Amino acid sequence: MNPQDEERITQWIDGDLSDADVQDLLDAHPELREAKSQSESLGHLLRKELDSGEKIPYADFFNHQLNKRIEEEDESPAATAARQEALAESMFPRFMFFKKLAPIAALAVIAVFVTLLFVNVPVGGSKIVSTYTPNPALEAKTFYSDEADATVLLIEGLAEIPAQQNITGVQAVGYTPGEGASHFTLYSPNNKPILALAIDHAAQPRLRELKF
Amino acid sequence: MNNPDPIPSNSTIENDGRRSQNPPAASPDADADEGPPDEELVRLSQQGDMAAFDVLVTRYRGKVYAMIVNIIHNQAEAWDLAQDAFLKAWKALPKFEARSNFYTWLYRITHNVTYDWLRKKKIQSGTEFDETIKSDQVVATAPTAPKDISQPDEDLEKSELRIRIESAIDQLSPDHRDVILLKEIQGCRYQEIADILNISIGTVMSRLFYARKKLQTMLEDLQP
Repeated sequence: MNPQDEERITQWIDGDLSDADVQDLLDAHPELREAKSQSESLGHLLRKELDSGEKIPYADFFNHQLNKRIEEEDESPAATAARQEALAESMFPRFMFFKKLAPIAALAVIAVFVTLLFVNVPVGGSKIVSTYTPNPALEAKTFYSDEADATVLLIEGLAEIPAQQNITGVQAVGYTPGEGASHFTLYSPNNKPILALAIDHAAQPRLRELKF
Repeated sequence: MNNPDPIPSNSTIENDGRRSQNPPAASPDADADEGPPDEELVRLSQQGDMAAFDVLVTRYRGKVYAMIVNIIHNQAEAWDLAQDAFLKAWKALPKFEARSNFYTWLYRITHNVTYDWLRKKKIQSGTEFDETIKSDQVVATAPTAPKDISQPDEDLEKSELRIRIESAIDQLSPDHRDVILLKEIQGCRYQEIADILNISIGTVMSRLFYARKKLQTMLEDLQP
């Protein structure tokens, strides 16, 4: 079978061949008479079982997250202002414990408080020099990640999150001294907070695990 | 251009756009099927109108996501990659000259983003090029997506038939898989597939011929 025949057969199966050309094709290849219905049933099977445009999960969050990323990368004045705001927020070390947290977060309703002391350092913004966990079962560790340009807070000793528990959203709000508290909250699929890290107006961080 | 009621450039665009061209298949984001045509939304987006771009995102996010899922079979990673595709589209919009349909152009970006990701995965894993990344092979720390999107009950609902079909498609070469997915699932026309994959129409038809033949052989027992 030559390449021209392959193209004509494909056009025929897709209904893009004229009647005269179809007749010519079938005259040349009578064995193809059953091929069209087989290909059509194959196409029907594929379309029935595979998605062509399924509803994307967390659609609103998808648009929100995309808009946020666009604003971060855009060069428009509005985006510049947004970046300056983000820069101000970066005066407070960013907590990137989410990745570590997922497998070790808590099972029960408990509330713990983690007291962190900050000092200014010449490079890299502020730095956590000590931690305190009133709950002796927990251990807090911090280190500065050059790669992430962020302060990482690890909290060990929490029970595992059930495997079926989804973390579907993260909200992080920075802290500007004298202007307000910071928040870092993880959300479940029904938009209920699972865990929240907050800093109050007295700059006292609070870690609260919520029931899920 | 089928644009019966063009909107003024200074108007506010609600998130319920309507397209003038007929994309390959109906979108599940039905609300976004109504409203301004793609061309108008693209023009406004090129001027920096994020609301207009948001309508385009709503209109095509399901299709882009499905296209990626059908290649990598991992919903969480597909969610992230769909984000990357739209972000790249936003950045590249000033260069988009509308010589092709917006969705054709967007699919091409999506295709490139997906295969770039697969190539990086191959390099990182040091294994042979396996375009099909199963969920249990993926690091659960992608940057943006809600993780573990699929629920256990959803996995159970994924029929054995679908798994069988996905497995058959995975056994096709990437070239053959691309044309089958774009033609049979996304409903693209030959010229659109040629534009997306940057190949000739003749090559599209030839690849379709062999892809169908191979699939028919692999799924022979499923057909009446």
